[in-house]
Amino acid sequence: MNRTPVDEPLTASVRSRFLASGLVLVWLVLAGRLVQLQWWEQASLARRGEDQWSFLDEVVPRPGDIVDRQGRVLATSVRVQSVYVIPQKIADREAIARDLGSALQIEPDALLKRFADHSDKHFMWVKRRVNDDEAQRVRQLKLPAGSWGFRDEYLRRYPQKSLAAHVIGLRDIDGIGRGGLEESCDALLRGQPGRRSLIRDAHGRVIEVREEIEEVPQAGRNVVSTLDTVVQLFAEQALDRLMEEWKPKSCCAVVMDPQTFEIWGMASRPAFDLNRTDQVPDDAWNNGALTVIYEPGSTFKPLMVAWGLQIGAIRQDEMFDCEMGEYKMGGRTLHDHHRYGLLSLTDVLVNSSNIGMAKIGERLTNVELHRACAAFGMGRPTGVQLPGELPGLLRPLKDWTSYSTGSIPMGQELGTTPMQMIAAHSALANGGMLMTPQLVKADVKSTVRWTGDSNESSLREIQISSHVVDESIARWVIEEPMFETVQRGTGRRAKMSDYTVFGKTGTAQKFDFKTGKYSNEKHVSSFICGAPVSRPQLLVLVVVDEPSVGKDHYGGVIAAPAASEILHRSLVYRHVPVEEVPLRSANSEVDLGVEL
Amino acid sequence: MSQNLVVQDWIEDRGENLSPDAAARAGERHFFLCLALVLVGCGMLMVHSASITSYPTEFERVYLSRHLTFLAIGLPLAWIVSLLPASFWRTWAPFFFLASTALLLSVHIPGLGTRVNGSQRWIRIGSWTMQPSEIAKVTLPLMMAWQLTCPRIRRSRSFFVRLFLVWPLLCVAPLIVLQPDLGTTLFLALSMLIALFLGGWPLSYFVAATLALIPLAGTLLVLKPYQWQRITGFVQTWVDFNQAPYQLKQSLVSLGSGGLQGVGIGQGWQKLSFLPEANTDFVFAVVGEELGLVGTLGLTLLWIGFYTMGLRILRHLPQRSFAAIAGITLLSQLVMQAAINVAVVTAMVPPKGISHPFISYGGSSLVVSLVTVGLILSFAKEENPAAEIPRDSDD
Repeated sequence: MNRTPVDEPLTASVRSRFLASGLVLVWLVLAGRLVQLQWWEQASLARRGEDQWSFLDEVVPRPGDIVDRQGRVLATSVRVQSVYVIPQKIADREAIARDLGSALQIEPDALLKRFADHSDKHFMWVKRRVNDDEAQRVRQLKLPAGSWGFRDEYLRRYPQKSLAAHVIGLRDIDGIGRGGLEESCDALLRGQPGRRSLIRDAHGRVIEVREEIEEVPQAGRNVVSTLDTVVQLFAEQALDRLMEEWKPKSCCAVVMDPQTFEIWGMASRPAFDLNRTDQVPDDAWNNGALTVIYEPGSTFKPLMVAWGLQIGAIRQDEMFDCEMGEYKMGGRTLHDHHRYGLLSLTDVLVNSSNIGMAKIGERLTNVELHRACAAFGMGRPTGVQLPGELPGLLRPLKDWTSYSTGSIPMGQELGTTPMQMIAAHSALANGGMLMTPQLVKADVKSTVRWTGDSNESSLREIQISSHVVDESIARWVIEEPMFETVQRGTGRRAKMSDYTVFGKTGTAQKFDFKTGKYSNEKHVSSFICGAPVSRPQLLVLVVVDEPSVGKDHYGGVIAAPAASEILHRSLVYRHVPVEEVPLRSANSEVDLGVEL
Repeated sequence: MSQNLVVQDWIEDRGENLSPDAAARAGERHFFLCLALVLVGCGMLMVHSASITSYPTEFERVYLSRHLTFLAIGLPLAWIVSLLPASFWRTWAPFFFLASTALLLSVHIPGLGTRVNGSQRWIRIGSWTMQPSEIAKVTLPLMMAWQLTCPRIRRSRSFFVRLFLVWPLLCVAPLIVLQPDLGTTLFLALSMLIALFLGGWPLSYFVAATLALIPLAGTLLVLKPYQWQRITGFVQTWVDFNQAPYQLKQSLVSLGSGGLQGVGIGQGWQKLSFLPEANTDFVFAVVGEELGLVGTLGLTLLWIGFYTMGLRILRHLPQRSFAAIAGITLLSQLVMQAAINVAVVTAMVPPKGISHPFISYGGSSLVVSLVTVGLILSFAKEENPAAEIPRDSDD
């Protein structure tokens, strides 16, 4: 051992003490820093930690079903699996593209290109909503974990296929309602997505699912529609036959209970299968009942007559001189198809005399005609719970001319939708109350109403009803002129032996924008009818756009049989008691229903 | 006689044949040994816990078994080391130093040296790898103590002779810098300075050395701004946390996540994948997350206790003796390494590849740390000749 004399003992011991206290001081500083990090800044650092390893994942809720008024399923959802990959984590793109391609019947090259395009992404759908066989095949591939997965999704199914397709609408691949009740009731149907907290590592792999703070998804609520599948089917079948027989551009039918304004059926042609939406012709998407704007023609006449009676401009027992079929009104000459002399008010409607209606228009004047149109809901959407309803076309009063005085009473110079027409006639049929048509049963969520915004509070819980004409007047219009129209007038083809039917035909020439004149070939034929007269249970409107077979496209010929068929089958289906129908001999004078 | 005493110390602890003073010192040595063993135990626990990742494989368990293997090598080795007298170490110090220098040189010989993560730090012998720069952590202080106690050098007042004392570092530093391992180089320099400080190097030299560092840092700043940025990146954790280096951010987040009591041993999230080098250089952050402030302060206390106990068992040695200089330098070096590691983990100093003695996974480091404890015990057992003389006369 080296034993050198201790030359500077004091300095040496000072030095070692200096070193020791220095090092202990360093440790004390470090201890202070640890207290700072783990005590003072603990909360913010811990939050940073949590942010990087926990994330919230959405749990898709099951959308609600749509059922008809009897509980028959119109739209439902089934759980299926979708295949996704994490392109970032794919090591061998070619191999995975080949394997997945063969398992899911996708072109491997196309898949490979998509992998390349999404190479820096964390998520990419390979195929959504695969069937059980495909899912099994994918599982058997035993692809490298962490680069792919299944995700549960809901596949919307429509067991009735094309039935009421336009009313039901679609739920798209992301679960968002598009069109029809699917869109208008989306807030109810979609449900509330749940959340679950997942823990992932730095590579994005999920390593744990935290159950305790999971937010349970709220399944969407079922929506009970006012539709009746059977009545709807009657309408669909009638339209199919009509399409075949008259080959029109389009046609539609609406069945409504005038007492409640509930829609029992609403069909439109051309149609499509809700389960096969990949090859639908563009025009098939339209719901004719809401989007076809046509000049209503004679079906409009009863409304004007009712208004005239309501304001006292005309009387029920009045006679109108129909000028033997030719009437000069200002610079315009009006014609009837048949020459009539004096006609009662009832007969003006039964024979659908244009001259008689023009004279009523002169009594009413433009101001009252406009008020009448507005009162019966023209020029604004009816408010039925469906998206895409058009408001029709009612020009402002200041744009009306002396021409309008003659045109409006016979249903020209304004555009209406079938929905507006059936609503207006339902007001007559129920004793004068115009209400908001209903497609969703009130007992589900009181009454919901489409407001035009699919995102928030899209459904208003009100049914507006407004008094249009007095009950006695409404009853008279139904019981006298409209009943007689079917008994002996233009609507004879709708006559039934077991129910008292009222109705009105309509045949409007379409305005040809090319020539600037009304066309002689293109017509909109319509017929509206209801029964029983004493207390109407159902009202049916059939509108046929541009029938192309034959020359005479009268509403009474084309639309009336279809409407009558729907009405009759529906009345029987609803067990409406059979009535005694007065066998009034048909007036031999009556024409074949020629009208404008 | 000295040899006898040493053996007895280990085998039986009665102290019957010892003077009361020697018995007390034996008790202190045992306490010191216990503290070291507690650290070793903590190390086993943390190495196992921190090796778990989010993607569990068989490989994770390998860390613990390797750690235990090195423990099995290191503990007997440390025991043998502690049995050998200080005079043995003094005699062989130059040889050990030259041997470790040769090993450092062989790292750079193709075929012997192994490159891991872009650094040439390991020697591969069969399936075992060894890190010679760790061995230098023991041999350099011994060499320094040898020099400082060499009578001729002690007596010399020549400036050049004194300056020449730094030659051992100049031998090993380039070899380690080339690996490259700047952290260990600086650490060895620091360790050498401690030895020189204890050995009586004039204070003015330390001032001069500090002043010499300033132009060096300036050159680095101008010539390699990127390097400078890397070194000073830790400052961002204080200024703009989001811009801070990833590893430091994760380290601080781990510590913060632990809070007061920690999330529980084995239950940390950060180590699973977010915290890089969780079982080696940043194992202390895992301690912070899993055992909380209680655990980190407990470890701090353990190190302070280890240090003060170490100084206590060495205090009887004559100042500036080989045993005193080597013992205090080795002890301070070990405690300082732990402190630097904690400072890095808590973003107080620039990040360097410095492991936490006993706690971090690493075979060479563990064996060397155990040998260091063995050496300290060996020196502590050295009887103080100054105190021995009167005691001998008493007997």
